[in-house]
Parts: sequence; C-alpha cells; structure tokens
Amino acid sequence: MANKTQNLRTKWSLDSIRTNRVSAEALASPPGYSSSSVNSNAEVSKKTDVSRLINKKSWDIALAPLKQVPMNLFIMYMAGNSISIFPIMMVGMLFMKPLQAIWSAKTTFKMMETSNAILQMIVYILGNFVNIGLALYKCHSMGLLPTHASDWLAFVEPPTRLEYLGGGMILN
Amino acid sequence: MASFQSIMKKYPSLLVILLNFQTLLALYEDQVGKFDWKRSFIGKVKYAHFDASRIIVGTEENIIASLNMKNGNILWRQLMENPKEQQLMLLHSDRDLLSVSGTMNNWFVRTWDHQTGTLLSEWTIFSDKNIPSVFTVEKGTLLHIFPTQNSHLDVVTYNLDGNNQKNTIKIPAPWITDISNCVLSKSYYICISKNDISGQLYYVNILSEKPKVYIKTLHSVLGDTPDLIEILPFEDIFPAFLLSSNGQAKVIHVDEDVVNTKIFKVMPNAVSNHNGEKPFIYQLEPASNPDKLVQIRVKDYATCQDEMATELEYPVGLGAPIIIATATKNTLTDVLLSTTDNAFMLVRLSDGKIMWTREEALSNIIAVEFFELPVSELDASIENEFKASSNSILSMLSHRLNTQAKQLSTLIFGEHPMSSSGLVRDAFGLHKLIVVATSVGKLFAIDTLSGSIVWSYRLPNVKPFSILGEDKILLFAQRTARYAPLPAQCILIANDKYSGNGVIFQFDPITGYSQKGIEKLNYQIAQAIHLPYEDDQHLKPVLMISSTNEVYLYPSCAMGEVYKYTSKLYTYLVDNTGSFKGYSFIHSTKDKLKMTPSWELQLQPAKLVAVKTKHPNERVHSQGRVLPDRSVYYKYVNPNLIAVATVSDDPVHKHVLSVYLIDGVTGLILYATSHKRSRGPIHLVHSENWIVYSYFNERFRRTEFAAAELYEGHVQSNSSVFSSFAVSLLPHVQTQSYILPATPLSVTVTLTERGITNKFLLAGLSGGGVIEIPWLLLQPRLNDIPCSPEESCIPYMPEIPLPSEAVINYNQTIGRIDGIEVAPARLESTSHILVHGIDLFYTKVAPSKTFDMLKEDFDHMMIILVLTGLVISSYLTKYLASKKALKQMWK
Amino acid sequence: MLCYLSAFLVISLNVQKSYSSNIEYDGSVTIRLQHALVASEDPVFTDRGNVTVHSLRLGQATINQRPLSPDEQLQLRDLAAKNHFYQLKSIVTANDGSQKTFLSTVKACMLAESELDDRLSVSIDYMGRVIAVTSIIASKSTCEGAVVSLEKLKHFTTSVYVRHTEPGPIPDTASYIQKLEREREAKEKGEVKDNRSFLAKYWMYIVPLVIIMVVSSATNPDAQQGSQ
Repeated sequence: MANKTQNLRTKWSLDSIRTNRVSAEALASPPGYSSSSVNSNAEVSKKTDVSRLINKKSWDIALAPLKQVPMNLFIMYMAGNSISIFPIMMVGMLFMKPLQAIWSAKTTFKMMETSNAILQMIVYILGNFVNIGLALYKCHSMGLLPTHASDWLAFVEPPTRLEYLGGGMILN
Repeated sequence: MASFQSIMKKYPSLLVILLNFQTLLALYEDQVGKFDWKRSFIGKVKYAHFDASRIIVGTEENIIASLNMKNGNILWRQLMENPKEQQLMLLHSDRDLLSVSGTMNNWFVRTWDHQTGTLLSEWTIFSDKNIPSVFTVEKGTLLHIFPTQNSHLDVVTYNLDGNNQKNTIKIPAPWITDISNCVLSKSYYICISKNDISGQLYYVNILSEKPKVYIKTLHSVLGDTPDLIEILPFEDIFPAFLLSSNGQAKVIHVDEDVVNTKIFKVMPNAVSNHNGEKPFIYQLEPASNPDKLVQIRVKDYATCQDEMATELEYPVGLGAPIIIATATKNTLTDVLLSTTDNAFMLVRLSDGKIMWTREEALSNIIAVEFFELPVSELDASIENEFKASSNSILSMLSHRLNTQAKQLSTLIFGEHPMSSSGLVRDAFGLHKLIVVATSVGKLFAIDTLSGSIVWSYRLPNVKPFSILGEDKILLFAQRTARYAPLPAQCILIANDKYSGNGVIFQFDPITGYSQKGIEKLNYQIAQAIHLPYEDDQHLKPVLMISSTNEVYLYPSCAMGEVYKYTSKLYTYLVDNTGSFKGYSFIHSTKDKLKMTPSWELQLQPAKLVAVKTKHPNERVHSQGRVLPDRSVYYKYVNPNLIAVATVSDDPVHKHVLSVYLIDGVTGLILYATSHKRSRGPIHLVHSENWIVYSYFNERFRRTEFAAAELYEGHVQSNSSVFSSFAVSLLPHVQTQSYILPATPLSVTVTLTERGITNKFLLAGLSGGGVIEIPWLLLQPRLNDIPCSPEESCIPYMPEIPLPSEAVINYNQTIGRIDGIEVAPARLESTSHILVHGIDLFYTKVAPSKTFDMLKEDFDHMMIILVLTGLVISSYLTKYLASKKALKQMWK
Repeated sequence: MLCYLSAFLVISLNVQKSYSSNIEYDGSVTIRLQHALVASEDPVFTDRGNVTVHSLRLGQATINQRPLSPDEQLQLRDLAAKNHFYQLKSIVTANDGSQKTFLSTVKACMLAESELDDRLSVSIDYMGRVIAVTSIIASKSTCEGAVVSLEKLKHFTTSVYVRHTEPGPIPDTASYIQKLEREREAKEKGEVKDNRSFLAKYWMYIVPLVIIMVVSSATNPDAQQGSQ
C-alpha cells in the first residue's frame, strides 16, 4: 500500500530532487513512526471527507432558496408598488424561479445519494415555497390579489325581481 | 419647466400647432352619411302657389317652404313659431311672398323672397278683440276682418306698398249669425242666414267707397231645393262662392247688385284654373273604373261642358285627396293634391300620372319601436341544426351535410335570389326596422340603413290618446322575428275617433301584414301593460285595463299562462289630478283577471308634469360602485320605482317643482325633494339607480340639471332576490345639480343590451342640435372620495360644457325636436338613436367608443402578408442555417 | 338580526330630523287607522287606532291602538298562513279640517313574523300637506306564508316616522370659483425650484447601487480567495 501511494506521489509530483529518492528511502524511520498508520488515516479522512463534502454540498443546495429570501426582499422593495413593466417583470421572475426549481427538484437531488436526501429535498421545496410566498405578498401589496369585494363585483348576478309592475297615467 | 417655456416663446407657431391638438371625438368628413341619415318634412300643406319651376307651400305646422316641381325636394324651408301657439293664416304670392301667422291677438306679417326664402320684412298686428278673424289680400291691401256675430264687421286695412298705413272700417252687419256660414271672396264678405232654402243671402263689398249690404233670397238664387245648403269658398278671378246641397254645388258670382248663378253643377271640392288658354274647372270624383280610385274631371268654365276625365294611378293606402292648387304651362297641367293622411302629391294631368308624393305624416311621429330583422334563410338553416328534434346520428349528419352543400353552392354560384330580399339581419344586427306611428293614424316602417320607407299602413278613424297634453299611441313588440317560422308581431293600441273606445291593431312589423285588421273594443282603455311572460307561442300578452277597472287580456287564450303570475303582478294608475292608485291582481281567478286596490296616495293640488319608469329591457351590469379603498358601494336598483315630477303654484315662491321617487308596489315614497322658484318644462330621465331632471330656475333665469343617485350602502341587503315589500333600509340618496347653458326640448339616455357601456344623456336643444352629455359628468360626486381619473371620476364642474364635437347631428339641424328614441343594438357598444320632430334623423351612438369592433380601416391584408412572410422567412432561415452549419463542420 | 335591521331603519328615517330647521310650516294632523283582516275584493275596514302627530316639523307623534281581540288574532293568523295581504286605511285630518284617505298594503305573513311591529311612514310635501301614509315592515326578505303563535299577535308596536320633502340641490358655483382661483394663484407663484444638491436628489438611486457593488465584490473576492 505504501508503495502505491509513493508511486502516485512520484508520478505526479514535480520534485526536482527525484534522484534523491533512494537516499530518502535508505534513512530509517524515526522511533514510534509507522508509515502504514499514517496512510490509513489519510484514507479514512479522505473517505469521510468526500461524504462530508457531499453532505455539505447538498445542504448548501437545500438551503440556497432560503438564502435568496433577503435578496428577494430587497429586490421587491426596489421594484416598487406601481403596475408597470419593471415590477411585473420582477414579480414574474420571483414566481417563475421557485416554480422551476420545484419542478426540477427531483433531478437536482438525484445526484445526491446521502442519508438524509429526503429531508434536504423537503427543506429545498419549503425554501422555494417561502419564495413563492414572498412573490404573493408582493402581488398583494400591488393590489393584484382578489381579496376585496370589488374584485368579485363583475361576477355578482343582478337579483331576480319578485314583483312585476306595469301601468302609468290614465290614457283618456 | 423653464426650458419648455423658452422654446414656446421662440416658436409661437409651434405653440399654436400644439394648442390645436385635441382628441377628435367628431366625425370625419367622409363618414358623413355612412351610418346616419336625415329626412326633412314640412307638415300638412294648407296653401300652395306655383312659381316658375317651384311650388311655394304653407303648411299647418306654421312652415313655409319651396319645393322643386320635378321631384318634390325642399329647396328652402322657413320654420316660424310653434304651431300650438300660432297658426299660418294666409300665404299670398305676388311680387313678394306674404305670410300672416299668429293667434287670436297678435300676428306677424312677413314678406319673403321667392327664390331664396330670406325674410325681407316683418311687422306685427295687435288686436284686443278675442274673436277669430280672417285675412285676405286684395288690390295691394291686406284686409283683416273681424266678424262680430249679430253686430258688425270690423275691417282693418293695411296698405302694403311700403308704409303699412292702417285704416279701420266698420260695417254694421246684424245679419251675421254663424261664422261658419260666411265666406270671404276677393273683397266681398258673403253670408247665408239659414242653411235651407228659406234663408237669405247677404253680401257686402268691403273695399267700396260706401259699403252697401245686398240681400237676396236663396230661393231666387238657387231655385227650389229641399236639402240643406252649405256655403263654400271658391277661388276665382271674380268674386265667387259655391252653394252646395246634396253633394252638388253651384258656382255663384256676385258683382255689386248682380248675382250670377252658373247653371252647371260641380263637386264641392271644385277648383278653377284661369292661367291656361281657356279657363277650366277641376274637380275630384270617384273613378268610374273600379280599378282606379280617383279621377279628375275637367270642365270648361264658360260652357260647363265636360272636357275630359283623367283617371289617376292613385295608390291604395292613401287617404282621400283634395285639390290645393293647379297650374297650366303650355299644355301641361299640374294639380297638387293633399290627402287626409297628410300626404302631398303632384299629378300631371295629361296622363294622370303621379309625379311625386311626400309623406308628410312623418312630421308628427308619436310612437316608435325598433324591430330586429329575421335572419337570412341560410343562417336560419344553420340554427335549425341545433333545434333538430330527431336524435339519430344519421339524420343529424345528413342535415349538416345538406346545409354545408348549400353554403358551398351560394359561395360559388353567388347569392340565391330568395335570400337577398334585403330585409335580413346583417352581421352586427345593425340593420333594423323602425316602426313609427303618427298622430294622423298612419303607420310607417323605415329601414335603418337607408332611411327609406319599407311599408306604410293607414288606420282610418284612429285617434291617439292624450297624456299630459301630448299625443300618445301605444306600440308593443309582442314577438320578435327570432322565432321563425312564427312571424314577428306588434300591437298598436289607440282610440277610436268617434266612439272614444279602444282600438287594437295587430300586425307583422316586418311585412306590415295584419291578419285581423283593426279590432274595435267596446270599452275605453285606461292603461295597457305589456307582460314579460311568454306563452307557448313565444307571444307576450298585453293586459288592458278599462276605465271601469275591468281587466282584459289580449290574446285571451293566454289566460292560463298569465294566471300563474297573478300573485306577482302589480299595476298603478295615475289620473291627472295627481292621485296615484296601486292595484294587485291577487284576487284573480283562472278565468277572469280582477284588479283590487292595494295603495293610494295623493299629490294634489300639485299639477303632474312627468311620470317615468325605467325602460323594461334595461339591464344593470354592475351592482355597485367601486371606491378607492376597494370596497363596494352597492347601488339601490329598484325595478318597481316610479319617478314623478309635479309643479305647484305658490303665492310666495311662484312655482315649486317637487320630485318624488315612489315604489310602485307598496306606494312608499322613498325620496322627495322640492325646488322653489322653478318651473317647467321639466324633462325627467329615469334609469338604473338614478334620475336626472331639468327645470328652469326662475331666480337665476337659467336651465338647471339635477341628478339623484340611490345607494344601499357597503353591504348588500339581499343579493339574490329583490322584493319591494322587504324594506330593510331606506336608500342613501346622493344629489348634485348643474347648469345647462342651453334650452333642452327632450332628454333621453342611451340603452345597451347588457348595460356594460357608459351611459350618455342625449339632450335635444332648441337650436336643433342633439348633444350628448356623459353620465360621468352628471354623476353625483361622493363627498369623502377624492375625484380623479383613476376612479373614473370627472371633477365637479357646475356648468355642463357643450363642446361642438358632442353634437351628434353635426350640421344636420333638426327642426322642433319632439322626442329622441333609443334602442339597443346587438353590439354592446352601440345604440340606435332616432330623433323626430319636424325632421327625422337617425344615427348610431357608441358612448365608450366601439370597443367591441375592429376599426373600419383595419389592415387585414397587411397583417396576413407580414405573418406569412415572417413564417416563410423563418423556415427558410432555419434551412439555410443548418446547411451552413453542416458546411462548417466539413471544414 | 331584526333589531339590528330596525335600528338601521330608525337611523335612516331619523336623518330627516336634521332638516327640521329649514322647514317653514308646522302643524298637527290626526290620522285614524283602520285595517282589513279578511281578504276580499271589497274589504271591510275595522278600527285599529289613531295617531296624533303633534308637530309635523319635529315629527313627534303619539299612537294609541287597542290590542287585537282573539277573533281578530285568528283572522290575522289565517291571513298570514294563506299568504294574503293586510290592508291599512288611514284617514288624515289636517289642521284646516280637510280629510284625505290613503291606503297601504303589507304582506300579512311579514307582519305576523315581525310580531306586529310595523312602521308608519307619513310623507309630507314641501307645504306640509300629507301626501302618503304607508305602512312597512323592516325585513331583509319576504315570506310566502307563515304560521305564528297567537300570543305574539296581540299588541301592535308601531313607530311613526314623519318624512319631509328635502330641498333640492343647487349648483355649487362658489366653491368651484374658489378652486379655480386657487389653482390660478398656484400656477402664478411658480414651482419651487429644486435647489437641493445632486446627492440629496438622487440618493435613492445611488445607495442601492453602492450596496449591490459592495455585495457583489464581497462575494467575488471571497470566491476568488477561496479557490486559491
């Protein structure tokens, strides 16, 4: 095993003192130092490193939408409450990005085969829902949500009349 | 900004150009006449004179006009005062045209130019005698004769040669017993004392130096006749008159002491004509040939031999004619006839041909109804597909294949002659038929696209009802043309001229055909109600209430259907003393409808001026008004509301106008308001949840408009059902008032099918224009809501602006506007407008611009070309790009 | 629910009181009330009570009505059950002795359901003459026949409202002229010149730009440093 790692090292290292390898090998190792233990440690840490990295990365991805929330808040404040092209574009973007993210959540997490993938997916989707909630709040403050009676006025049917009246002035 | 102002100072022309930019709401010049038309009328002709190639006429509508002899078109027309106040008394054509028009106490004498109709001079005659008088012109003097019964003749002469010197002559004449037994001929005033042979003939020459009364016995003049004798005027170059007895008349000449009786007998309507080579007498008599109706007989004046009798091609529907004037030029004689139904025509005597006819009954329209035309046969067959009763797939398939084969054949081979009869509905339903009823009892149907008369029908012996001083005839559309093959049906309700009982005329408005003709009823009609319920024949029955409170149904077979609704029917009757009585039909039985009193209120001693309910076909689209805080202020829409306006005389405030809003089912007065020192004429408009009324404010001497709008509040009391008995709260009334800088003659509001478009008030002004005022300008502003364009609110202006683009009849002045009728078109954005008075004007109005139609010059071709071009180019580019990429990869 | 409605109706009817100061007339009227408890085409009216309006201007009235006898209660219940009408005839005697008769109808089932709580609306024209006497029931919906127990149909609780004719609106030219003058003065004074410094005018746009630049450079240099 030690030879393998050493071979790896010699293959890729750009050491100019290549020729001194033999002398380095001739020296005895210091007391208490066993080369095998060092190698096994590195291997284990690398293995755990990799999995921990993957975990960390997937948590990053899961929490990304939540990190976008302050940025979105700021953009919403800048865009303003009037109905013109810029705010509507902003609201549209705020809506579409989370929606698209939710749609492609499965593919994003397919690569991650960590233990708590499901939890991360749920957190990711929740984060996107928070973003959508922000977009809805923006719509509400722009007055686009039909929450008031006047928004449903066009669908109010005129009441049916129970009595019919006819007549007028006497004709003669 | 400072820079902008400096630019304006440097380039004043730029400023001028910019200031003149305004949104054009008016028509373009090439749009004139495209969707509007105007027909001018003059009224029933009373006097006519021939003058070169013109005919100068004076009519009963106090109008003088000059008509073209070839086609009867109006060359010029002068409208004088209102005929209800002043009548045309004389029209004399000499060097100048002289007209005398006036009432009992004062007259206007005017001279006009023959060619242009301009007023040359005008002076007035006053008199304090309250007796009817007669005018004539003789030897350059205008004679004004007041016959005082059993006493004397007062004659005032005016010298017409410039100085109008007045001279009064008094002739004692105790022999004048009855003015209807006297005639004026040239300068002789002739009377008969009694209508039978024992009477005496008295006559006097007014213009002689010493007027002497000559007395002759009728026996010596006429011989022995046992019948009643009548004296009639006769136009002649010598003083002459007709004595008629038993349908035949004799021409009598008088000349000082000599009374000359012509031997021959003529008809009482005979007219003499001296401007040909030989003097002739013309008279109308029934034709000997049963195919023709009327013939004109020409008699030689001197010898009284029958020269000839020409039969006229008299149209069947016209009333009985009388001859107004005749003229002979070279060998052609023209005769002007006026009929009892106000038509006016020119007849050329050589062949009895009627050159032209003017239907002057249309100058007095009193009822209007718009009718939709039936769909063309092809469209009807398409619609029938969906009504196919058989459910088998094969039959439906064969029907559809059949219809589509027909469509293909019409596309390739052109229109089938049957379907192009002309009276079919067009794409937007803008081709309609207007049925009008006139005061003389004649019905016309007018095409909206061209303005031509489609059919006319004369109803003999029919008299309109009189309500609040105005004539009225009821026209109800019982069935529209939608239910083919059942014909459309309209019903006309009027009074019989002689008995005073009601008269019903049921007819098909598209063709004018009536199956049953005029049906006379044996009771007097007090009111008629058009029910909104259809029977199985899709006919809406009419309920008629007699003056004795009996209820009749027409058609009576609909009783079973109507009985289901008697618990929901209510009616109200108003008599002209101001007492309102409401009735319900709850005690009706299956065979007989009975009316029982339900409520009563009395507005006496105020005088009723206007009673208005909403249009029965009106729909209210939005149930409330949206406020800036996005809450809804709900409207109070009561379909049973009656708006009443009364004017009362008051010692302190002179006249007081009171306006009441009364619920017609319970009799509850919802709103009452009064304006002191205000008098009529009052024009009241009632629509949706508001009323607008105009009155004359005597204190400030201006016409004002007041608007009142009713609201329920922020919560709807009952959103599903409206009942007049369920009064949970009284409506809030918002009012506001404005000044109108013109005098309105008639005010209406536009009506659309669904009630979505804005409303315009159309006011016909005394100047002859019809102005449109947006309702948003008159809507009462709410106090706590700021008014800005975002809330579709125009800030309050106390004076209503009348820009000239708002006049819908641009430069087509309409004389004496009587009424404006509105009908919804099938397009939501447009309404049909018919303005009637002396003239008739039709146009279409789109208050919110035509939002549901593409504009007229929409470039279909260009869009199609551009689209196809782009599609082709995109495919081409894709192909070329792929070729290039392929080539690139080979490098 | 009903008391809320009646309160509403009372409030709307009482708005009339604010106009009493403008009214020049005054007087008192007596109204004799008669009702018909049997539905027929020619109803027979029996006495119900009378109302004395002491002051037309202030709208004060006293009513005295006798309670219904058991027979009458049965008749009324019958009317209500069959969904017929209850008719009220009022004979109004004015100050000068003239008499006028008015008629009013309500649905009997509505009267029964409200337990004989009706409102009399006495409408007056601009001169102080009575033009209508109408009886209404405050309710949000109608009924089609109702059966109510007999004890509730004994006593009438009637309130009388005197409704005046309001003076109509007048075009408000004075405030419009004032508004025009104010606008003209404002235009003549000219706009306030924007003399503030460039920064004061445009800080709203500069600050976010700066923040964005800072944030982006913060992320970018961090990333750059991280990768090395």
